[in-house]
Amino acid sequence: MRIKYLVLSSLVLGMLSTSGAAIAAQKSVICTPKGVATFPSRIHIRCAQSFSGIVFFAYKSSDSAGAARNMSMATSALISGRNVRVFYDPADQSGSKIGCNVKDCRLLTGLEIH
Amino acid sequence: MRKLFLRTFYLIVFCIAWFATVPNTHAALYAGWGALANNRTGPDFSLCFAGDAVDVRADRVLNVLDHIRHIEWAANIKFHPPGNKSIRIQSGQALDALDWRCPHTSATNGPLPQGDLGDVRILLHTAANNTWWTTDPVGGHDCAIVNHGSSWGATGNEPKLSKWCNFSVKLGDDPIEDPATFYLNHTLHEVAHKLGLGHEHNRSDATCAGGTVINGSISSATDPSGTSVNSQPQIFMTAPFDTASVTNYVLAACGTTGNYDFTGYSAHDTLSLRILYPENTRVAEIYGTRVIKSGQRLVLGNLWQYLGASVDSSSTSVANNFSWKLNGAQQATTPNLNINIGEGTYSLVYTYQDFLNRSYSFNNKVEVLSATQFDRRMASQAVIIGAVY
Repeated sequence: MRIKYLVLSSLVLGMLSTSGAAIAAQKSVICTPKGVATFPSRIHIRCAQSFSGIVFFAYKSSDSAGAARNMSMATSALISGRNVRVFYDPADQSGSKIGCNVKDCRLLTGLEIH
Repeated sequence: MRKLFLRTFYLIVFCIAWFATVPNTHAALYAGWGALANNRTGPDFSLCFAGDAVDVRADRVLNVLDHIRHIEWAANIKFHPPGNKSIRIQSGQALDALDWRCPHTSATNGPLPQGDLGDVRILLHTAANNTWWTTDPVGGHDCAIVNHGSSWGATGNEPKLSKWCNFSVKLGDDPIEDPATFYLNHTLHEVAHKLGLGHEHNRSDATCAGGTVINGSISSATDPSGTSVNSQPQIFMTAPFDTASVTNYVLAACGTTGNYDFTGYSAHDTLSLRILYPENTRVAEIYGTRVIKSGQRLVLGNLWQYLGASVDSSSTSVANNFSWKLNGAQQATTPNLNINIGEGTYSLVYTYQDFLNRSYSFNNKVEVLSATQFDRRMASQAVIIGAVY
């Protein structure tokens, strides 16, 4: 099972590394998932704790494959009682277009099950 | 020749840094003179620019505000201009330097000004600010801060700093060679002092820098009335000595670039600020797996410790008074939990306090599943993942 996590994490990290050039202020935090939700425009993870006021990490539904991958990773962490490391750019406030509010939400760019 | 040049360069940079930063900013990561966080809940803190910098150096003011965003990303801090919480650095709106002017600190026709005069008052150099820039000590009623030659940040709420000090952070334009690219870390370094952090390289375990400050040591200062005042313990918030911290100087012997770089806060700087300026809802953070198979040990730990914070049973631990409860029964009073329990679903409550006596708690559940239940749970997880890869 751990190998599977590692493979999945590597895939996510691999995707991150290939798209890293566009990321301005990449940051990561360790989140204890409290809920996972899906909406027409986004999926999101709600963390038990906040990070400078940020509780939600969202991903656009318009990228259905990416949304499904992130959704499955988050759900997997939730039902197995594990944390996730969330990668995101705190400076990117463009999530407001899909209902990810500037005040408490940021767009996630990657996930790693911990 | 190149080596000689580099050595000379590092020596010059080191000397500039050494003389540029206030020497009485005490050491260890937490400097012990209190922090803005003492008796204040976040995220609202005020910040402003003293003198006429907002008028004549608007670009530099906006540049510093851009740097300040890194502080807001690290901890539960959201700056606003004194007395005006409707203006925020990360509101998504364009910033106007004029909004960030510091109120006057001097008496006008009688009493001293009251109210919010700026938790962080930054002085940038301008022609009109030159008198404040060069006059020692810092001006202002009951202000006893020594005004060193170049950049410094007054530590936390140290006794030399009164509400009416003209400024509490003095920020030079480094590197002077290239005014278009002022060091990000320089701003973060000086403001970190005001937030309560000392020089990392002064820790006694920073042997490459000759650090001398013992973990837990007390220092003292004389307040404006001449009374000697002791600090809180200066503590190493993370372990070991963090060479990536912005609170270091440029020290060739340690391989640190510290305040003269663009790296931003290190992971340990961020963790220290997160502990000093906690979220409004304080959650006791754990790591480990809360769904296990019958026969496995339940191993859960303190996330701060896992991330490198100094969390243990000593007097200098950044957290203490640990309690792990399952179904209301206490299982351990240590930072981490490692026990055997039978099958079932348990309510989990983990609590502790930080070194400033603020309480944290985490309420969730632990599931100990039979082998069959566990395999079924993990299989469902595999199905979820398999469906999308």
